[in-house]
Amino acid sequence: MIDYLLVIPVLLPLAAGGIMLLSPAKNRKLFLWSAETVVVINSILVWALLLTGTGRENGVVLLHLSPELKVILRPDGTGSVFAGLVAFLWPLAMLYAFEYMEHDIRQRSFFAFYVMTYGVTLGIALSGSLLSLYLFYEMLTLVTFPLVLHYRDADSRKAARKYLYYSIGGAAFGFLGLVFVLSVGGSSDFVQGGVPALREAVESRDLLLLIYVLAFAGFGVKAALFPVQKWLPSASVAPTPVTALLHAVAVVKAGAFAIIRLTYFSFGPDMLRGTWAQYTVGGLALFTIAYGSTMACKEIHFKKRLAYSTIANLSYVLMGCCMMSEAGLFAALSHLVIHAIMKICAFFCAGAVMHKADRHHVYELNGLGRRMPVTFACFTIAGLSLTGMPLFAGFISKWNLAMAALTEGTVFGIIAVCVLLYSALMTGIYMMTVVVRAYFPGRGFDYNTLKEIRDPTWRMLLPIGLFAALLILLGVWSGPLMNFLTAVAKGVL
Amino acid sequence: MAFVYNFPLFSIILSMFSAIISSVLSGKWAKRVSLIMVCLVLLMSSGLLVYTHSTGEAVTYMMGHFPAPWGNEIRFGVLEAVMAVFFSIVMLLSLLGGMSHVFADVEDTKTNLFFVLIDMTMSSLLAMIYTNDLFTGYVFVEINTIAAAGLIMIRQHGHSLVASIRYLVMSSIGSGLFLIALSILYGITGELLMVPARDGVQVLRESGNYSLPLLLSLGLMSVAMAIKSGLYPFHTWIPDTYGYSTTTASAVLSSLVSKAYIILLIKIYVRVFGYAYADAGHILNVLFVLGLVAMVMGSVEAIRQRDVNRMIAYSSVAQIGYIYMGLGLGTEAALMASLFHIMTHAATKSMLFVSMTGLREASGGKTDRRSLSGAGYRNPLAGITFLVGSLSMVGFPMLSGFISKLLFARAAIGVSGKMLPALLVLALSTILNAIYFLRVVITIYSPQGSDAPLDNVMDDEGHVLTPEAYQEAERAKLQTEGVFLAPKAGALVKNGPLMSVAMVLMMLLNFFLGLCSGPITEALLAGLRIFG
Repeated sequence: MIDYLLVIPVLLPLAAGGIMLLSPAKNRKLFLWSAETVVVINSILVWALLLTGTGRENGVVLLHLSPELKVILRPDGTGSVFAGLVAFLWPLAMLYAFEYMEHDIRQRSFFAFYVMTYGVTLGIALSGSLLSLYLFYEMLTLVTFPLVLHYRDADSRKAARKYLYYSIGGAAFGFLGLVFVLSVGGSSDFVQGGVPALREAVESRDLLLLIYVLAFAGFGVKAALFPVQKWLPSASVAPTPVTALLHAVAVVKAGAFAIIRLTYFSFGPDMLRGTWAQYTVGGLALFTIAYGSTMACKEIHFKKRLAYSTIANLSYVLMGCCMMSEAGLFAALSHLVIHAIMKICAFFCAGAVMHKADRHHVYELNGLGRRMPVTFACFTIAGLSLTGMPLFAGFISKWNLAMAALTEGTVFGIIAVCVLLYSALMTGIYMMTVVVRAYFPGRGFDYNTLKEIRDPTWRMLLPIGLFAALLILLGVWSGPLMNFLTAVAKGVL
Repeated sequence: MAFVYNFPLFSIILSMFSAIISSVLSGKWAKRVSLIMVCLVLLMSSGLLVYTHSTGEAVTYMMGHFPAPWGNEIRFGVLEAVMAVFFSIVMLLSLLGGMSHVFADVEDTKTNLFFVLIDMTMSSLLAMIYTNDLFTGYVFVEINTIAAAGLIMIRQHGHSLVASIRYLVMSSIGSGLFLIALSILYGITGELLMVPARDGVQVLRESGNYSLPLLLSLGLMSVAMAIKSGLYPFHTWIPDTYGYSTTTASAVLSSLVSKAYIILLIKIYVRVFGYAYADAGHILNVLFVLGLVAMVMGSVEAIRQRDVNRMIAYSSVAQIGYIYMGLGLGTEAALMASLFHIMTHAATKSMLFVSMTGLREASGGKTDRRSLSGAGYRNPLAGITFLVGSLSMVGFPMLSGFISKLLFARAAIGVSGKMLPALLVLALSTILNAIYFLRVVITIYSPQGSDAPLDNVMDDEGHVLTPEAYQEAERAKLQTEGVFLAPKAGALVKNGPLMSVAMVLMMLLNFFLGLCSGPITEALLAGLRIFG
């Protein structure tokens, strides 16, 4: 009976968001703080449920779409990682959004959809079958598209349109994967190592592989896999709390997470290892890494540069996933967690700059390091971590990825490591140019032009600082987290 | 013989007599008669459904106990009952949803005629569902055509006159082909009742005599029904017809009339010729390919439309393509998927037409995309209904469109040679659907003046504002008022109570089909097994 508590974290934010949309409340402060309270309570509940292992055995059936199509919530190890991550980030991002959005004219709908997205993302994380994942995945598109459309101007309409077409198109191909898992596998419930009946289906092997590749590319849309990555840079027209939390963590990670589920829990890595399908999707991921890192160097818009960096980093996760091994899953999960923290930190810094200094391009950042010391210190930490500097968290996950690639022992693994190194170089360039410009604006720079600019208030700085501190902490002391993730990848949790 | 056996005949006769009575009544009374008639038909069909579901048998009902060739037969099982119930629900909702517009769009002296036509349509729909006689089928096909042409024309708008002439011409070709096919079949088998005709066909197939006329007859029937239901190369009458009629007429024509022909065609395939025969003659392959082409081309045409009503009409072309694709796959599961999609499309398309009427009201009577911007705020209920309908068409889980898509995809798996094309086109069609439907959704939720200056946006002194200036002014106004709510985009438009009820019920129907599809698909499958 207690298992039914699992339903609350998913439905509570959805209900709260609905109420927020319709409520006649006029008092902004009260409105926002009650929203924050709901989010915090929800996060506490999620962590409590995950730590007590509620519903891990049997799960909860949320609804039946038809007698054999059950929408089921069951947090296994992999799901817990994503759910725990999301639950940790959401309250902080909300806090940040309070200040960032304070002059906006559509805060009600913004926060309502922001809260709803929380519930839907948790739904994705806690899903116990590919069908329920698909349901929440589609819902995610629906609740996040008002956020992309937020400013309602021509740019955001174009971006929202692009986002919708790409996402729904991707889901349509993910749907093919779902149909095959249902029809050939008999059930879409997640099983570590793949749905048994699907693994044993020998005669239609090539067809299944083709469908896997299509579904991979389909879910890859949200994970911004090349050649379907275009929506992500355009979507950076959305308010920064959206780009930071959704387009660096929730939405895009949902895509990567869906691919992990598809690979390790539905089709099964054993079936895929060593086939043309593995090399196809792996090749796509590697190409995306190189593409994203290179484009990030070329991009002069601050947020878009970070968006390209996200494209590259998501494909790190996919690359780990493509190793089709326990080590690969472990590496993918560790980068999924650590990249989330690094990128949200970097985006929040960029948002702080936009909010306080109204500067949107990299070449306008000269000298800001002195006026916004905390922000840029944190940005530097995030940048070093993204590059993969030892003592920062990013190093750990990149190390895991490289190890997973090398234990593979194939040419593919070696190429993967080379791509990683190239990408690290590029990351160093595109992140550090920002840092250098901010701290060393050049001789004769007139700081008086920046007189008005200050660090933001605690509501923005708290999340930023916390994330930066966490990056260093994880960089020097990652043992417990890594042990946990290893256990998850082995399937013992 | 249980009393319930009489219900099919009663419902057909009842709707015909309502038409006759209404011809001398005033518009108001004709409306009441129609509504009562549809409700009674709904009740009787539900009774029939309960009965047939419990017995699980098909019943052949001889009218007046006269055997052929004097008598006429009705045959019903679970499938027919489900369809009759569903058709009467959709008919009722379409009537409610468009009621106020009937009185606005139709000339005062002719409102009763509108309901006469509706009653006639209803009776012919029911007859096509229930009949077990090919010639009766033909007669009601003709009645349906005449009634439908009247429904299109009654708005008496330049476009609708053209549309109804076009419809009449295309439909008459269809009817003519059907009649020729029927004559051929009658000539070579000597039967018009479906079951004896099947035996005749069986004998001919075994003996190998008249194989060409037999195939020709089936082919002509397929083409006739394809023309009448608007399968892709024969779809040219659809956009004008659905796009320019009054709301109820558009909803009924798109969601019910074209579907009844498909049900009749399925009946001919399953009951008279046998599915295997249609497959062996490659007719199913032709339908399959045309279905796929329709799925893509219908959507491509829809994307090119500026007028949203015409866009919705073109989307019907694509949806009819889904149904024929299912027919063409040729398995029982695929046929069931097609039948389910008939329901999905009927429920969704009527909903889209009704909600579009609400949005049109909120946009000064215009339905081009630009004028609709912000309409979702001015008429919230219609906006939400349109959103739900669009999502259902795109195949969003929990809505009926998803179940259709899932049934089609699962039915396609394992059909050799047709599986991959079907699956890929299904995915492609989803994307195309998303493109045109969600584009409209974005438009109706983007406030006016956000990208183009509108004529009516002026400042206090009467100067026309540029969009930037307009937005700036709006923003400033909101800041000074200290409101943090979204700006109101124009005045709210009130829907009539009937229309609001209809929209809510249509949404519920859609969710019902999406969430409780289990019993329905079971009933359809059970009905299909005893359909032959």
